[in-house]
Amino acid sequence: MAPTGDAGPEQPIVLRLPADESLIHIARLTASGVAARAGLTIDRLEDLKLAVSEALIDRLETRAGVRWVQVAFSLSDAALVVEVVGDESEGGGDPGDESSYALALMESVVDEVHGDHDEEGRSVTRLIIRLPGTGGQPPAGVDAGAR
Amino acid sequence: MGLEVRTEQQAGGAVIVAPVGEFEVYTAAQVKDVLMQLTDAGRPRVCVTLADVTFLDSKAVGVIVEGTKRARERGGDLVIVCASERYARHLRILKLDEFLSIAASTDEALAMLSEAGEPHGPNG
Repeated sequence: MAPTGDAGPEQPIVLRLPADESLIHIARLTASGVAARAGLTIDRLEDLKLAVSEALIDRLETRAGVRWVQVAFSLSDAALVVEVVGDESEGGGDPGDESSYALALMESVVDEVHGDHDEEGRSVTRLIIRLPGTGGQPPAGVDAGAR
Repeated sequence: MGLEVRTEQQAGGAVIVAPVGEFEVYTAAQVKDVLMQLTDAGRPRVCVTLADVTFLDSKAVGVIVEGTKRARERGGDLVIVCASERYARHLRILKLDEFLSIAASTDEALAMLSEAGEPHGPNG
């Protein structure tokens, strides 16, 4: 279901979690709810869950000094955009072989993956799933920067 | 959420390992521990069935890859039963479908393991 109503564009759904791998499943549960609201098929819902998980794994395992991670879901008529950001303040950790698995899976299951920085200089991973029957433009205000 | 890891000893020496639930970053260590215990105990012929896995992420794949290397170092193998097209596609995306031993059923996996050589110690 695409967002409708008189209140203008739908507000993002924002989830902030302590940097704890045992809590990633909460982000998956939220992703499931958002995917259902967006009218995604079961396959695309599973794709979204995987992409969100991999983005969080990448955030928690390859960045140092992470205390929390935030996942924001923005839904428009055309696309579902997920932005994953953490508060890492130090240098990167050791990515290891599995980091390449995370990135490859993430890129394979969503339409676009971008890396960017927010206004506070934190790195942002942006996942875009185009909704069926649309031109696939992300919500207004979302800039799909280069990875 | 959560994962249970069931094991079943087979007459020929192979062991079926069946994770049940979400096989992912937080639970993957449970499977890793079981696989390490088996190879350390001289049982490197292992079938890991994904039939009851409801979610699989990159960390789980890493555990499977590591378990496969370890089993082969000890003269055995690890065969994955991957009936799900979704998980099979993930392995293809990661270009692991040629490295890993993959079967469509437990029977096929056990047949593949029975053809593997006799296990040996870590030093050959």
